[in-house]
Amino acid sequence: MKKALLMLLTAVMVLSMAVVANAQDLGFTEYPIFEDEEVGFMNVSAVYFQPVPMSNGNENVEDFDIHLECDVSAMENDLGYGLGDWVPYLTVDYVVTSETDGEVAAEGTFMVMSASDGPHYGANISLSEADTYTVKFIFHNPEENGYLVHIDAETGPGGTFDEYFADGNLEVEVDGWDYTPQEW
Amino acid sequence: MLRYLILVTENLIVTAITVGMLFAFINELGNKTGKRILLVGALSGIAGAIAMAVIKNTTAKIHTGMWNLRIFIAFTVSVVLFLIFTIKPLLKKSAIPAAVSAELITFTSIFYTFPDVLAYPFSFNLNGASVLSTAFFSRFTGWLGGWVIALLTFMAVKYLCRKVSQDLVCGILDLALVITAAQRMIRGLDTLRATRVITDKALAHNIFVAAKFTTNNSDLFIYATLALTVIIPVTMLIRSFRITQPYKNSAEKRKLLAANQKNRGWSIVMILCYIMTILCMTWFTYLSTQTVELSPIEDALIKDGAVWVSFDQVSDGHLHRFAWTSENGVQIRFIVIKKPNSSSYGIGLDACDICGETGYYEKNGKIVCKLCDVVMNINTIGFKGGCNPKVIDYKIENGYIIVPTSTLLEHEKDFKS
Repeated sequence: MKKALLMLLTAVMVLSMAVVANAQDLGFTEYPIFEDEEVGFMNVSAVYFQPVPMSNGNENVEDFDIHLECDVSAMENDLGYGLGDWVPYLTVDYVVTSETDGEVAAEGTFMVMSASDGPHYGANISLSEADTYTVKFIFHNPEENGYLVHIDAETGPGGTFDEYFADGNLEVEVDGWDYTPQEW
Repeated sequence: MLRYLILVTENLIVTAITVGMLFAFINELGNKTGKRILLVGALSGIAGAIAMAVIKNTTAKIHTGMWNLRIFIAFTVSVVLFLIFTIKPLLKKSAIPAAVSAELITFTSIFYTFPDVLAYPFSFNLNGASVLSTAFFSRFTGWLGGWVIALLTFMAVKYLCRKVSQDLVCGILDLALVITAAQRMIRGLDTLRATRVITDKALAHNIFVAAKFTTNNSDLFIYATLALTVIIPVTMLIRSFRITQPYKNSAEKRKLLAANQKNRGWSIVMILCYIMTILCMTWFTYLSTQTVELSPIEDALIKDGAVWVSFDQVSDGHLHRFAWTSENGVQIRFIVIKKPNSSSYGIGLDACDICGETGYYEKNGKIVCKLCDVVMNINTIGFKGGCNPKVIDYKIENGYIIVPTSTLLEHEKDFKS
């Protein structure tokens, strides 16, 4: 009986290992927040997934609930970005506000990073309460981070950031994000 | 330490109770094969959970939410089968089917709850410290404490549930399983909603409302299970103070007294485990979420390329914090404390090799590392090693502790902000 039991348990372990090991790599599953919001020359989407360790001293994921990601790609523009290119050199602030009590649940400035699906703006954040939230992203002029545009007729793309940022920062605000903490 | 004590206890307690009750209930059916089937379920669950923990933490093959959904479905189906097979008229003829459904409940419960808990020690935030550090030991102790509570609860439930009416056990068990199944199915459906597999807006909204309630009130489900099952140890504890069974002689009486004593012991163990669980969910959670504010940085004279701290300012035996800001705007902090029963001072950076720049605070006359909660021996502050503050150069002159800014600048990289 004992031998049979031991064999059965080993079989369960080996079988489950083998089944899963033969499965395809899933990568990571992104949980959508919103897609294709257009602001200025940018198309903006937001997703979240499990908190992730990052390089340069940002390995700790213990205190966070999700990794919030902001994907920014260029639309048709006269700033020299190719259609669909990731837009670099942005400072992107985020504010997550509860629609129940109006309290800010999380806010800060995204860091810039690369994942297996390319570069993005993102941050590990603590958001432990299930609620309906409003998500706001604030985009600063890339020139603040030293990104310049040729302005001569011969080499310049034709436009300047002033066309978009003359009135200050650009904002995307989306409400109705029904969020519940997930098990990662 | 508290963080992992709470996490492990909260994650395991319901499984410990329900599996303990299943073991007792199937055992009391008196069917040997049934008992073996249940044991296989539990051991397979543990084996599967270990395999899952390894795969989950070493590969990208697991989408936890979807895996959990499958487990929840299997769990719920098993619960329904168990409810059917344990209906009293059926039970006598269906001991084996009841044991099989109990086996499936046990397997899925363990397979769902154990993997993350088993993997916690591999994800402790140690800030680069080794597994031989106090930071690891502190967290590991909390983790182990949670397992001890769960194991003792399982053993106490398994023992005591055999001593009370099986109708009562079955009734409580059915209710506890239904509550758990409902909570898990809502969580599973919520994964489908959050990943937009469920697209129907009205349905998605209803699932969200239910998931919001179950998530934000997850403690309520644990309390409900505790409240339902606490009847058992309380009943047994009360009963244990008197002998209700008839006895013929003093030897039989001694036997009954010994049995009562054993029952009382396990009842107390179970009640203590429940008290610990409630403490974890209330007082310990409150303590672990308290953020300690570092005492403010005190003024000090900055001249001749050094920070000058007068003895008068720091001779009270309490912790004092000072700082100098570099040209790059980085504030480099150091601490000073007069050692007890001594005229010497403990001086060091407000950061250590293990926990980085989190700093130290004073609590009840002791100096504590804010990150790992390790209590410093004040007499060793100023010496290298462990979680002690990083040693810095200084000199003492004319009643002043003089810390050169060049020394502080060498540690600029230790302070990110």
